[in-house]
Amino acid sequence: MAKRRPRLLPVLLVTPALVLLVLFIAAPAGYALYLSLMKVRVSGGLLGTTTTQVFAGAGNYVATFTDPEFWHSLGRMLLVAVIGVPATVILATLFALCLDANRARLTTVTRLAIFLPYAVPGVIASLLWGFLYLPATSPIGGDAINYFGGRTIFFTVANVAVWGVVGFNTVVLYTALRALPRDTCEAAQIDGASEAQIALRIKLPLIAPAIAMISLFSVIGAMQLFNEPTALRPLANAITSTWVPLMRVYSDAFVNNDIYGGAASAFTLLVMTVAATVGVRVLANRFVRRERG
Amino acid sequence: MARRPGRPAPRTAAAAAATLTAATLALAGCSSSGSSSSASSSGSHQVVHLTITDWDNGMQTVVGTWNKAHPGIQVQLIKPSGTGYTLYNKLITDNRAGTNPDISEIEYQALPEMVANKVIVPLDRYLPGLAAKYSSAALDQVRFQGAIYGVPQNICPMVFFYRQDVFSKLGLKAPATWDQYAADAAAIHKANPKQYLGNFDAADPEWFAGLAQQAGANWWTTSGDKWTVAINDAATQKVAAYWQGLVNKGVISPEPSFSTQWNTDMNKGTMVGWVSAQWAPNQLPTIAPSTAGKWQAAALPAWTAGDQAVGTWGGEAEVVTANSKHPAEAAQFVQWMNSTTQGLNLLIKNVDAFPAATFAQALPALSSPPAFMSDQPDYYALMKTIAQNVRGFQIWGPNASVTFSSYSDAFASALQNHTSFAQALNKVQTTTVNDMQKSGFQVAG
Amino acid sequence: MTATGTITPGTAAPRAAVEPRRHTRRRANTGPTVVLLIGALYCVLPALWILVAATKSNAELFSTAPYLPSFHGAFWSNISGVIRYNHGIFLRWALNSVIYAVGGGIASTAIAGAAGYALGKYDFYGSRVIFRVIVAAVLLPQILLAVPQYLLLAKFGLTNTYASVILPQLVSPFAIYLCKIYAEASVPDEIMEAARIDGSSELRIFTSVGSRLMLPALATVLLLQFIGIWNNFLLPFVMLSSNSLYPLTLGLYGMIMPTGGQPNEYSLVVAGVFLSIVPLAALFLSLQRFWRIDLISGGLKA
Repeated sequence: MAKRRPRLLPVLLVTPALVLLVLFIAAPAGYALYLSLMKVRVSGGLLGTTTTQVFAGAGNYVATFTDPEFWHSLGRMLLVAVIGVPATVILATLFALCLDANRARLTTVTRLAIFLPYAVPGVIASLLWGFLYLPATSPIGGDAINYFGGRTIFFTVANVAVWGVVGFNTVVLYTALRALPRDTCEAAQIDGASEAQIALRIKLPLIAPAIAMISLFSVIGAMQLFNEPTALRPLANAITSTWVPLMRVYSDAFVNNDIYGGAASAFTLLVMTVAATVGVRVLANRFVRRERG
Repeated sequence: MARRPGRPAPRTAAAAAATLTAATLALAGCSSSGSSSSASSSGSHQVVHLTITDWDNGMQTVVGTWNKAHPGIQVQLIKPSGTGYTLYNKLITDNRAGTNPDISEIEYQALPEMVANKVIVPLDRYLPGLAAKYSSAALDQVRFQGAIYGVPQNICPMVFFYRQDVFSKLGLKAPATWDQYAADAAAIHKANPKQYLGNFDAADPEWFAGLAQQAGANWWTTSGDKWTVAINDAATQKVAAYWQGLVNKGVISPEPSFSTQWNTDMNKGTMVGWVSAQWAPNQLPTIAPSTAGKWQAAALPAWTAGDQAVGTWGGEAEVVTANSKHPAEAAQFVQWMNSTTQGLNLLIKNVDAFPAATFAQALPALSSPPAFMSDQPDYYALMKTIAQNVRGFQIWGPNASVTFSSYSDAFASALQNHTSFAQALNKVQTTTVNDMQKSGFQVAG
Repeated sequence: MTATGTITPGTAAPRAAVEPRRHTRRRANTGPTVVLLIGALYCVLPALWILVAATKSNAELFSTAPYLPSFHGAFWSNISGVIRYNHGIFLRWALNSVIYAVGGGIASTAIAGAAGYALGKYDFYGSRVIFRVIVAAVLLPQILLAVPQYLLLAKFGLTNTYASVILPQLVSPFAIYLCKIYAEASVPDEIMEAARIDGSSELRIFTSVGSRLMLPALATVLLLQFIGIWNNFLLPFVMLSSNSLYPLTLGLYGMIMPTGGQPNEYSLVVAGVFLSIVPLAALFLSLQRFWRIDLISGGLKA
């Protein structure tokens, strides 16, 4: 690191980012926080001759916490996460290890194919899968299986989300594997270890930090689940307008004209995301330490 | 037109080009149109530019015709990025930012919410003679606290459509009562377990509201400054119980109208009836083109034989926004479009609207049926008769968006989990009342 | 987040650089290959379906077997139909997506690169705090920011413009994070010191040495930003009201999912979706040599 001498260049270099950060992230976030503490009161006349914005204190937050639907939506989101996050991490690890296996074939083609879904916008992906799930157009047994049933809907939604991100996570882990030093694996091979044993006992612990990171990002992504259920909603009676917390925020802000309640819900979710992030990091550190021996 | 968007309006580049041309012509040779209220102009003529948000197909022709004839007031058409409550919400947000267009198309049920949020302005001072052209029923849709807030465009009574060929084969006639409808539904489903007479639409609250209107419900009533909310009143409960019975027996499909599955069914002939509204023939060509000419329209089944009252599904007025800098000119355009013969003829021809203005319901343009209903030459005469017995709510609530959102959630859940519609209705009622009270409206009881 | 153990190009000798794959030595390892094939099939399945579906007319779409393509010429009429849809708006949407993604991508990468270099290679007053704030900003969901951003831009009359979609996406906390990690990992202090001793200004060091060493990272960040902006739906949805400014995501959404239930010509929609996937897929298939995602995993050892 450079010595602590005052230099102009770094300040100049970081200024555009800082200015934009303040303008487009800090200021809007601050304004949203302010809005979450306000509400609108109509007064005078049947339809209200005056509409004023008044201080609501913690009113919106209380409303969010005491709304059973908020907790239901949180529960549903967690259910999708419990299916989707492990699926993403396990599949990504599996694919990465297979790509890295000695003498595996067709790795270039399959690697590209697996990465492909990342290029498809979430809304479009959900529609594609929607067609694949609908009895009328489904090539995967939509006639026989009800993909939009009360229980199956969680797997259905999780599947679309997993599909979209497994490629990206696979490539992250794969490049971590490619960067591993050659010697340890060779030594194990000479000792007679099988491919699978090398993968599990040697490679896996070495890429534990990478696995921890993709787990973290998957958890954050799961808490911000929005695109997939929104896009699938017209096809499934099972998905309501507040099926997951962020849909509730969207519904409040964009449909019910209640940006105040929406802001409060969003900040509540934000705090929970931070808590979850901390929790995952603690778990991940333990995992890394254990793998490292 | 009643339903929300079909084909989006043509690119505004075309409109801009037309505007530019017309404006140039206007400036080049001072126009002699004395109708523009340019009271402040002295000699040379300033062109007023207006913007209108409208999602209907075919509006560009209407706007273009006006622009050609009125070089002093040029109107630009903008297609909205969302419709329904997404659009209305955007109008409310944009109102705060001051960026709303001059004119917008708004469905009747959203007008009170627009008034409550100060998004639109009363038009009485600009259009003094307007009231004479409309029935009081039509005016009630746009009149609040004594002022008129929009010019009604169309009226969309609910209508029953059915496949004539299927009915003849089974020896059925168009049902005159809801009991008859239930019997017909059972007969059709029994003859072919894959076939349905109709569907229960849990995704479209206005459909259900229209049926409730027919049964005599009044979801919102006012007395002075106080609101009374009765979404789960006896009439609405009757309607809900009726349809629940049909869904439980499996003779009615639970798919929403316009959904992919419903589309497929319409196409394949496994959906042979539709409780819809006057504008259906405008939509059917894209839903089920191969069935053209096979459908018949009839009056909606009644609760008691002979009762001709019917509710509405859809219908809009055009309004002038509070952000508009030229409300007088905007009001002029709206009045031309929705209440003059020329404007309404264009709407009938290009947008398939059925006019709300009483005199216009007898226009010659309505003497031939829509293309899809070629087998029913007296289609519009039927519409005119039906329209005379339209029954609406006394007023729509100031937070109808919340009511509608709650309806879709509650009824979709009820369908999904096989729980009672009555409970769903109660949920909609409590949600609506709570939201109104939270905002400061006075709610009785 | 220290620099120990992170990947530095040219030092740790990753296996790929040192030893070529030993493909031909023994018979292929079938287990991993089969797993990969299944995975690839799963990932490509919807795209395959779209290709098959795009060959069908609207009526055929709902009446023929889903996995069998149709050869009645509907493919070309669907493609031409969607391109001619609404006076050719589809191509306009595609152009807009390119403008947003390329313009926004390049600008945001440059800003992220500069900030990352500054934060990674210099220790100035407040740099640590700034970095922590940036990392925290990654957690903010876009929905929370959308309406306030809109109200802010409306004050300057900038809504419903190209700027309204590009400006908020110019700063990406995740991109800055990546650039900082890579700057730390790939621009050695020694080289900078040597250049200083030679009399170069800091600016010279940045332009001739630092940014060049960061190029692979910048390419990767550019790709990620490009994809992110290309796929973004919510921001244009809030900011834009003119059809002619929509990106593909918003345009297709309007075709596919009209709020309020309006029937669609599904076959056109299917063709539109197909067309929107193909160019992007082709683009990064062809560019995949130039970017390396190892920098992401490289930053994790911290």
